Amino acid sequence: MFLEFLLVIILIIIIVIAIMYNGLVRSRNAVKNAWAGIDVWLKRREDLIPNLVRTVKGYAKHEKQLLEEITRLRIAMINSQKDIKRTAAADDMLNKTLKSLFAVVENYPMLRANENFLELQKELSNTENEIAAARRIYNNNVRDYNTSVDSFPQNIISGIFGFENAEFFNATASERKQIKISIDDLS
Amino acid sequence: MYWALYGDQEETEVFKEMAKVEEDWKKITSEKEVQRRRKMMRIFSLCFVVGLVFGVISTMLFSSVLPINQSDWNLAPAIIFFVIMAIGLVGRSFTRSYYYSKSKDVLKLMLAKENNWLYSSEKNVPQQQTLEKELPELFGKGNTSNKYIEDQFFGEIQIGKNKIPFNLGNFYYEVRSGHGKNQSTKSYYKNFFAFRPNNKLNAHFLVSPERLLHKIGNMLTKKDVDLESMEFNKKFVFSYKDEKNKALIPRIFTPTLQLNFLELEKKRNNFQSLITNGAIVFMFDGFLLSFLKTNILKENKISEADTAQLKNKIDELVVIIKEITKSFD
Repeated sequence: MFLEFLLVIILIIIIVIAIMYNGLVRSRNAVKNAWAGIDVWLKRREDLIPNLVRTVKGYAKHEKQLLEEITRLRIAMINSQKDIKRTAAADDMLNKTLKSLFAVVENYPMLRANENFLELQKELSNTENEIAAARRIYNNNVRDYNTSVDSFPQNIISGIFGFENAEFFNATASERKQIKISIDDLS
Repeated sequence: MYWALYGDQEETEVFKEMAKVEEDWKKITSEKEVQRRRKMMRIFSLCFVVGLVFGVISTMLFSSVLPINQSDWNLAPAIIFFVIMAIGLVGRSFTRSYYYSKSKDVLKLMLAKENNWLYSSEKNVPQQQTLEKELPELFGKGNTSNKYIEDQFFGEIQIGKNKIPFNLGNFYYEVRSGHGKNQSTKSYYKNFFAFRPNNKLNAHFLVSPERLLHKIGNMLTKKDVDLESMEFNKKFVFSYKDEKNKALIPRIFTPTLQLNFLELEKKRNNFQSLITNGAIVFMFDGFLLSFLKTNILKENKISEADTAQLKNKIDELVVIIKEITKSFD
């Protein structure tokens, strides 16, 4: 009788552990999936930038420095894509530089009227919105996953099976500084 | 012709209806009618108060609470006074309800005219039958024959350079349950919002709130589609017929659209969305407009808060249309 009772308890514990473990695995996979989602939109932006630089160069020769910075930031993004913090820093800087470019383009009416440029601007604007949304989704998933990893009693399971906290897609000033140094090295 | 969900709406009859609503409103808000209404409400209020007071006194006299010989009184006066009270109460309620309903119609009419849309308050059974046949996922509800569409708007919304036609309205149906003496009928109101995107879609799938049964079903069949947002995956479930539609879902539901759906879910709770060839339809619980602040019995105009409420509800949906149309471009 006691043995049967013990077996039932053990079985319940195993089931509970399995449920918690699977929950952690699902959360971790959701984080990876969200990261892959950001990656898709970052790559789409990377593909649009060369075309943008070519189009703008033809009309706005005086903005050479700005265009070169965009190109170097693009390369920095490609190089940093395994590192979340560096990618976030490069993304922030590229976003800011593109906004500066679109502000400067206001001084070039011929370029503003160019159909190709307008189409690229629209595409890039949509892509930036999707990147921002994808970042929010990724960070929400990371928050939920990290909460599961750190909360009791899942923290016992996460400790035993080696689940670690994921990084948020946010950059600090020092990471942005490192990116700036790396793109200056490219010039 | 204005676009309607499965069939265009001819405007002549609707213009006549709109003109009638406007005419009714002019009569209701005329000085003569206002005076008549106030007089009527005073009479009903008086009936209520007199009936209540004298009814209570008569009852107390009958039950010899007061020190008077009981045999001198019977219950008839009390009954008469309570009937007078009831007339006052019913009269007031009916009058309030009548003007409330008129106010709702006029509010919608004003919004329609402001935006160059059509508004029809009429019950439309044939349209409901067509929709039930074409879109059973959303309109195939209820198990009695008492179902209809009413209170519809038809118009266009400007999104960038494009004009997107839309149709919104209320859907009423009943569900009968039990047998014999235990039979009961429950009424349901839903409001739907449909629009036709510029690019024709070759898709047909439904997005619904995820319930426990869906979770259990998905554990067995693994049919649900998981997108990037964990919160979205927990709150919504996709239903589709084939692999082609399954493959379209991640393409259409971009991160921005997922966040917009989550925002809409916080504001509107349970809703379903059907993405289909030729239209995208949202179905929400309840009426489009609820609890008007407008009280025509106190103030002879539509409350600005009500106008804002209706505009906000439509604007929330316009934001979603913008995102969906971007996904399809």
